[in-house]
Amino acid sequence: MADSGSGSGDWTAGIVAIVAALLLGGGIPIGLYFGLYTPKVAEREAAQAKLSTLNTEMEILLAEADTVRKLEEDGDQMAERLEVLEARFVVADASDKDKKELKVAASTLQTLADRHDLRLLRKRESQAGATTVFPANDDLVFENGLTAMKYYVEAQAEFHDFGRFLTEVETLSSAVVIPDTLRCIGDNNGGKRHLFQLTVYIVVRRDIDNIGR
Amino acid sequence: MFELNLIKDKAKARQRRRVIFLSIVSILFLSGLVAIFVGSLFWRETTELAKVNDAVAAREAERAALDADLNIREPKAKKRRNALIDAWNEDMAVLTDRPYFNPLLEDIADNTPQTPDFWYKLITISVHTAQGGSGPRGTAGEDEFAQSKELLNTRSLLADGYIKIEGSDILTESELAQVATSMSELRNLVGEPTFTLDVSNEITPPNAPEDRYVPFTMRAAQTQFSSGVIE
Repeated sequence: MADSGSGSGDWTAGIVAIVAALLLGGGIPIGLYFGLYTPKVAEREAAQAKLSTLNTEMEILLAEADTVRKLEEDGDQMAERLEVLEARFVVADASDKDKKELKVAASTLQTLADRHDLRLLRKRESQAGATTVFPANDDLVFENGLTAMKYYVEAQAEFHDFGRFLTEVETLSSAVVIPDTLRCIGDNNGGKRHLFQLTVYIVVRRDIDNIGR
Repeated sequence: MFELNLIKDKAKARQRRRVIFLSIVSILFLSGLVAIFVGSLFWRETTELAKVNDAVAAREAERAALDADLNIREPKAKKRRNALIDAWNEDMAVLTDRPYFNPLLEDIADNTPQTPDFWYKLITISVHTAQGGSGPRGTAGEDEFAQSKELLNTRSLLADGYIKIEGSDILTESELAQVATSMSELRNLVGEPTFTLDVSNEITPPNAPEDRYVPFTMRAAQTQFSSGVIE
């Protein structure tokens, strides 16, 4: 009897030790799992959700970038079309200080005036370097940036000569000339040479590269 | 007998201790294995998280750069495209709506009354204002671009001259009305011209007192130039 009593007591201590080992041994991995692993998983999932949101935002931005690229391409195409449209306008941008093409256009008008026998007004005949076509040094600026330079044509000529001159001016292929006002005063002495005062504008080409920039 | 029992007890105790020891060692060993497994999971998550965080940082930087780029490019692109469209429309207006004076002069030259004693002393084509006739042009105070708008806008035509009355005033008026209807180009470009005779200011040449010369005025003022085609 004494043997069996002593043996049961030894087992009890052992079982307690085993249970303690079980508790301790099980607690460590469980503690690690819930204390470290689970929060880390949550953190990783949050980061992945953020990455996913960022990816969506990036996709939206990339679509926006496509739209912007299309806008830029539209602009380039418009610029090319505008260049073709303005081919007949003369070049006289800010970089061209001498306004060479404008002067060439004005000189074309003067050549036409000479060809059609448009003569200087009597009062200007004595002026040195007087011409029938001369600049008013007046820029006309349109609402969207187009400019035109004002020129005067003052001459005495026969009506039909002036008409032919005006036709050629209005249909010039090298420049676009817009007539503004015209005043024809008949010769008081009944002669054929009348006085013509014409105001025209020569349209100047834009600096297309700088439009809207 | 007592000794034998004692030996037996010692052997049992040794065996019991061995079982307990092996059990505890096994438990701790298994627990260690599980802890290592959990630790490896934790490590995997840690490296994974580091990678995801790197990707997030990279994507955020990419997004911020693209966003900043678009914030600059988009308004610029819109502004340029819209400005180019405005410029295109303006150029088209200039090319299609600009006035041509020559058809008016041709009509005036080609269509004259039957009487040879007829002449114009003044022909004026000017900007047509709301007041009619050749009123003052738009001033800078009203609209900065008034002058450029007027350049493509309407014109008035005013012509003064003298005509010899042959027959009667009514016949001359009718003759002038016929001239007005035959001026097709002028009618198209500046509208129907109207002739008015100013009989009260008629003049009589001293060498021919029976002749009557009456001043007349021709007006047309509903001018809207528009060729509708680009040359």
